[in-house]
Amino acid sequence: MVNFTVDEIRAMMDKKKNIRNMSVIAHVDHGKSTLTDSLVSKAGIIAGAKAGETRFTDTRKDEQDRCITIKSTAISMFFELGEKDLVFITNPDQRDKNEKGFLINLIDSPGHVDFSSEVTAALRVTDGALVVVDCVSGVCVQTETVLRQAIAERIKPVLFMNKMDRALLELQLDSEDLFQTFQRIVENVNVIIATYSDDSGPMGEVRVDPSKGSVGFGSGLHGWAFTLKQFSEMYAEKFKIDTVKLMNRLWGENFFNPKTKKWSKQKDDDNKRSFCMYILDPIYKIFDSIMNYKKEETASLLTKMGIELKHEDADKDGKQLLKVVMRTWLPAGEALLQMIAIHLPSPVVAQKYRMEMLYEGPQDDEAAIGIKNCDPNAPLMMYVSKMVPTSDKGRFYAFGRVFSGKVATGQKARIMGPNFTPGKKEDLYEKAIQRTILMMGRYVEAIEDVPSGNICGLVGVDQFLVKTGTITTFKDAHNMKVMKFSVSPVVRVAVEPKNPADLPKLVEGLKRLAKSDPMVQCIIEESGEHIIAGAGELHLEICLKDLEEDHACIPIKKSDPVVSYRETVSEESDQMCLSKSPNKHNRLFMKAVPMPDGLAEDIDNGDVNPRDDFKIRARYLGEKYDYDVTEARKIWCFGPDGTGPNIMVDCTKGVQYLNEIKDSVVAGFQWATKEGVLSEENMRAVRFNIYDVTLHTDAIHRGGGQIIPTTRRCLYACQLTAKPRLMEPVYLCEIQCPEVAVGGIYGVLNRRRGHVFEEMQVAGTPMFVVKAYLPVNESFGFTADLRSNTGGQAFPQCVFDHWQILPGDPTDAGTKPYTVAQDIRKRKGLKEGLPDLQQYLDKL
Amino acid sequence: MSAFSSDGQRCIEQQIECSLSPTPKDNLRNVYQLNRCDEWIKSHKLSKVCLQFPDNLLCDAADVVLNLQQSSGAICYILGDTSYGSCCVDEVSAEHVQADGIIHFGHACLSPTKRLPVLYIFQSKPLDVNKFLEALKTFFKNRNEYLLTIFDVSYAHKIDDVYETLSQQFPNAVSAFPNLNLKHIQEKDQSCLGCHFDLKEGTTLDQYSVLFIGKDGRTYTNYLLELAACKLFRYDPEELESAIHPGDSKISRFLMKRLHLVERVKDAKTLGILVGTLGVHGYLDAVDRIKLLAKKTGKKTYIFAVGRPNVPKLANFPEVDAFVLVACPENSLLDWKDFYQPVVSLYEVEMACNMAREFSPKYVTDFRQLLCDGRDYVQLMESSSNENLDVSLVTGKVRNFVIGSANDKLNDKALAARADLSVCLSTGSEFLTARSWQGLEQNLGQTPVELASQGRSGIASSYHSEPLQKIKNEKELK
Repeated sequence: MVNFTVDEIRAMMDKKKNIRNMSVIAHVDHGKSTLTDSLVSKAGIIAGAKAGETRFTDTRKDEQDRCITIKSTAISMFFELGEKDLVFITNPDQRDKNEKGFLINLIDSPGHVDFSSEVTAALRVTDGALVVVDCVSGVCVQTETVLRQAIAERIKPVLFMNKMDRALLELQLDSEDLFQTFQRIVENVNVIIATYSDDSGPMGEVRVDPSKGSVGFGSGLHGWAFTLKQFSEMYAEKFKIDTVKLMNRLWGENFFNPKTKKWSKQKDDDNKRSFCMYILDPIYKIFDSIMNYKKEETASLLTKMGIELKHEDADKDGKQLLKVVMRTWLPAGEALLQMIAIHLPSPVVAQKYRMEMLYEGPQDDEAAIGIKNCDPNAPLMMYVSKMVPTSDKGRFYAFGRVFSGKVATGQKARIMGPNFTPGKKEDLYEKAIQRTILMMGRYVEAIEDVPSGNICGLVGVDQFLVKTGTITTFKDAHNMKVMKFSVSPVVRVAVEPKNPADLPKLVEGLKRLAKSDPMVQCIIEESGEHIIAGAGELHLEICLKDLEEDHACIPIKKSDPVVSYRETVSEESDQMCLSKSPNKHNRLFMKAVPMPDGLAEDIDNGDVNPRDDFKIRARYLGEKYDYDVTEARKIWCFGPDGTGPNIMVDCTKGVQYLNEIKDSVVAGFQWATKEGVLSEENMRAVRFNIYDVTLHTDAIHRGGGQIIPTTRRCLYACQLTAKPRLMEPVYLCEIQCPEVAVGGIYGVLNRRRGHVFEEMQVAGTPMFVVKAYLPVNESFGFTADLRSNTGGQAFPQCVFDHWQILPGDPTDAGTKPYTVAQDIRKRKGLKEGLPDLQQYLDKL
Repeated sequence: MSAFSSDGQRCIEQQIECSLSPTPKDNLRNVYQLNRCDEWIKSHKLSKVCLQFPDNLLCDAADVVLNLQQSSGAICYILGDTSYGSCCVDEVSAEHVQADGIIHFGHACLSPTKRLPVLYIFQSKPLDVNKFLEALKTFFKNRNEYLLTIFDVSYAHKIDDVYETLSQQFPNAVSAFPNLNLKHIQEKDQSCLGCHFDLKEGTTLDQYSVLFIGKDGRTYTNYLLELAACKLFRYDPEELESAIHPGDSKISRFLMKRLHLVERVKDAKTLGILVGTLGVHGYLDAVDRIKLLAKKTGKKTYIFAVGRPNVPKLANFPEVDAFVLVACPENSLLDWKDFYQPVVSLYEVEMACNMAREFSPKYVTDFRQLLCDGRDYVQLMESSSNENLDVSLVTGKVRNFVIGSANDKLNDKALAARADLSVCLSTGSEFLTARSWQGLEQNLGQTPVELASQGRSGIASSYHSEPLQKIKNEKELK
């Protein structure tokens, strides 16, 4: 039974040094939820025998049915660490001197790329990550994506090699090969870590190292796992050597000669790699004797290792027995717990270096200091990273992390949405928190209050937030930084109720859906279509199912998926574009230029953004993109929405009244970049230069009414004269398959305008990995197509990668971009045909 | 696009639907039914009469006036280029000359007016009754079909003829009559837009197939919207084939587009009330209604009277989030595609702000029906909670409706104090503080003092000091 009570957990929450907030992240199907079961069973929440099959953290029915995690799920658990293990925790901030209990708040996250936003939300509220890698398939694209995100959020990783049972039973790898596989995975992971961080950074050493015990090995399905620490402890007495020293000997290029009893750094004929000899060989022996039904050998092995089987397990044989034996010998929960407690940071440690990444405000105000010190007596700072549906339809728990102060039932707090700016009232609500709760997988437990460093849920704030937000008691608090997602909602479907009278229910459902998913966008377009935009087909499928069954509860019709496009230009405008205001008394002279490669992405990533100091930004643009620094200082605005990847640059010299019309020009720019001239899609990667302006001397004749529409016309003229192009979203697609299927993959990709840029064999396995770019528009039904062409052997993972120009001139009838643009116009109910330059361009 | 870049030039070059050269003089009295006008003037004992012409009939205006003045003895004025739609009676202009009556020629929306007596003279277009009946018989096989015929006003003179023959073939046919102060109106009549009708006993409107006789245009669209519950068909006597067309699907598309607007109104913090008529009876009540709805949902309103709305006029007020146009049914649905802010009608404001109103797939273009005593009036709900939070499906943000009783603290003349003791700003001035340019900067002491010098003269399209060619060269050099 559950070996802790809510009261115990509450007591632990105050011992912030003994808290570990962690997420489990990995590629899809690498066994996160299965592995998590080991810890859940160690906590007594599920029976040990059921661990690995229950997938306790897969709480939804469709998650259980499809065997795939869709939503991240949190669970709080309490464990005690043995005396001998406690000494491994050396940092005084990682453990309370007199406390051996640990509170582990674990979040199990989905592995499928379409649900990466769930991973992002999970990472934000945790400090450490258990990176699970299937040792058979190795480091995959999603492993890299989530790991990169973790490092960017300053989340410390530990590594777990899962599915050792498959390596032994299915692939029958010999021990040296298996070691090489492990070694390679560790290297791959460390390469990724090194790319995005360095050891001298604020997190300290981030690399994973088996000899330090930060890499685990085992099988989640069978419920066994170990780190070098376990084996080292077993042998330490025998060798009369210190455990830590032995751990170093048990990994890497360390060989032991059993005859001479000498260690060596080189492989010789008569010595053997220590890892193989002391760790893998015993495991191989057990596997061999049990799976080959060598009863006597098994019995002698068991006594040698001191494993006593329970009475009811004694009759088992084969795989069943193997599971029991391994689980008794090397219980996974124990190994995981040690890895987590020893190697993952406590909130006290983590928040010190995470604060500057988390808080937008001044780094020395009360909130910042509270976060930095993880101080439960400072003002409350809590970040809500997602909404979890409750049994009460339409209501949600706001799920998040208390970074500073204490959140309590009934407490009055400021609820700030992502659009809140200090000093303004927008997106700010002052409300009492109805209830604080503890998330326990599929259950919740009420709790009086939650101090800093913990993860919890709130009741009663959901209606003030859409997806995320900051909750604070500090009057001058700024927002916590919003999360950056690795995926974008580029696939869209239009939905409508089967029965038109159900429309209000659909609208209500869409609003709920918008809350329940960290990334989905629900919009009513100007054409009146109700659009749901998601990361991929699977994401949309789940969203639609939720909408139909949980949120709207009405039958729904959906359109075929479509992608959103972007409008851009490919050259500088071939003429100075002049537009006159309706009263003919004002003239604007502008040109459009494509942005250099990479700048639009820099703006997307926030590396160049409107809030930067303009001098620093100008220097950056000058150095990286060869922009004229004086011009770059005069970027008027970004757009659309004030932050998008298009800019307006003031290149005028000494124009009178220019400041006066700036607001109007900016308004026109926002308008035009939001709805480009070709098909009213957003513009992207266009720089507009304003070269000259002549204005009427009377202010009344150069008001917004004259300037805003004229700016829009002029920008359209610029766009049309600068060889306009359409951009389409492109997936990075990673496909794993056996060699025989590679040919089939090429066939499918070619038909879908995909292009392969990397093909390699996963070392030590017969599997191939093909990496390709695939236009999102061509990806619908791709998975099914691929499976049928490869006999079900190829599994693709597609993640949005970049925008790519659709070759061809969209203003030239007969080209593909022309057809695309016209289709969009038709869908939006716009006049079909080409935009006429003469409508926008005026003559002097 | 015309509205987008409209200027004086365009107005002069504007192509109007002027199908005919001036009517021959000998036919004038007939076409313009001047005898009827004479009678009307005499029976009302009018001395000053305004004759209102739409653009396409202005060519005959002078002749008509001369003719009518002679025959009736009253002084006649021509009203042309009306400030709002030419389908509405322009009472305000008529009052400028203190006229005591108006004769309105051409197409009319028949919105009721209240100040002056009005005579409507429609264009009488030819309608071949037999051809019409043939088309009808081939289309409607069932002779007991419930039929409601609605005539465009230009065929109004044929109503009686058609009805007589029609009712012999189709016993369940009913005809609608234009809302003129004529003998036809009875108490039990139902009315819809500019017409009224008397249904067969024991039937309801949704049992009827509605047949509209006239061109596909704004009038027809309005009927399609208003009578969404019925099947609509259209017969155009001017078409050679004279077939009957079923009501088309663009209506559902249109209604969907309006849904977006409802969402925009919900998002709006500031509404601009655009007065698009000064003649239609009850327009002030509509303005009051919008004010009330806005107040109840915590929105600020401003009233604008700018004549016919166009893009530059409305873009002068970027602080307004959406404009609400109060106009006659035929002018209240503006194609706002090129406008900086959306332009909506009272119905969208009702849908967005009146919590008690239930969703319905129809659309009400006639604002009078939404006001007190109207067919589609829904009383505001008195809500106890003063906040109603919601997710916007346009911006994806949380938006807040303040729902309080109208005569509450929300009196916009009162100043509210904020926590930091500064005066709470209204949304309009909040917008101004967000602007980068807030007025002339004196830069005292920073700019050197200079003597006044001769500046540029002329207008910006070509200053006297800079001949066109010179500027062009400069641009090319750059």
